Amino acid sequence: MNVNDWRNKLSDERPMTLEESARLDAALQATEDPNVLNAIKAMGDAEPSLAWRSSLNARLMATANKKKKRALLYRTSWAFACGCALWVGLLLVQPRQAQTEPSQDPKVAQASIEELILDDHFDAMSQASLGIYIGYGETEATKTTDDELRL
Amino acid sequence: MEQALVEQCRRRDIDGFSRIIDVYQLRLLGFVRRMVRNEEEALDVTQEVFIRAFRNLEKFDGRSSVRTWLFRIAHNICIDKARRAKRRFVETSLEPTGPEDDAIEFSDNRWDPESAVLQSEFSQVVEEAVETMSEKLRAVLLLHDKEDLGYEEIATIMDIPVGTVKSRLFLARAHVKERIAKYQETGSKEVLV
Repeated sequence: MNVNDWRNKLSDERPMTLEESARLDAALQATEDPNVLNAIKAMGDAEPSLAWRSSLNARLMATANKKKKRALLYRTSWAFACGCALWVGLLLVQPRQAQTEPSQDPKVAQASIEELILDDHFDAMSQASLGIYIGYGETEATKTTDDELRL
Repeated sequence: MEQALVEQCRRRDIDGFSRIIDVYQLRLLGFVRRMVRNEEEALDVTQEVFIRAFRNLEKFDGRSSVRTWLFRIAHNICIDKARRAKRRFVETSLEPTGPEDDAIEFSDNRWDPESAVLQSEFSQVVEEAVETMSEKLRAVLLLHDKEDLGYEEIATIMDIPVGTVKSRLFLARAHVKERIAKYQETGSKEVLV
């Protein structure tokens, strides 16, 4: 490869062969001029002012506060959403429970028992009118005597 | 120690991050100042580097050093600015000097700054040569010759292959040498304007 091709290849940043890479490494070592290197290293860097640093600190503080607020808002929203989901879930579950299972509420249970007793009484009344009543605790019909019938 | 500082910063500890700023602000500002070539813009860009780093600390996975990471942010911002400004540079073309010139030889032992020119003028010539090259060459020259970063680290910062880092460094040095040679011939800094 002639010099022109070599230069063009460098300028175009085309991939190199191993031989070309070795040539480039050698050329880089040859171009290391200590006077130029020292001049580049010595190029002055002015210290930024205190005002600049204060301004940067203020911006960092604002960024940190913004992040904290965002994190707090995220956590609050998440907790609120979970709470709402739980509440909705409870609302949906409760009516279904009332439909499918007997109530465990003692007052409701009491009312149910009273209803049963009343129903039973009315049944007994209607059965008594037919002469076939057998009440609670009775295992056999009482015999009526003639004396009782005379009354 | 650096890793401990980063962990401290991840917990939103501004004091910890301030220590990172203390370590890197001068070097970053120096690099950015030579990339954007406007003092006020350089100060703004350097602040922006630290703000972006602080915002994205969670994304820093520690695979590279903090130095590499900060310089990468700085380089990216500077390149964006340069693209928007659409700066144009005239770079040294590597013209052959003669038919016997079969290899590129740039080490020139004739140049002796102590005898031919005052040290400060020589430094000025070098600095102006650095200013007149393109951003991509300047970035590599500054990161390698001024900041002493290795080829692999520069490749990570600039997101280019190691071979490209070497090519650009070679061309950057050639550009500086060319400018120095022209100054030496004419004895005037005006040739560099």
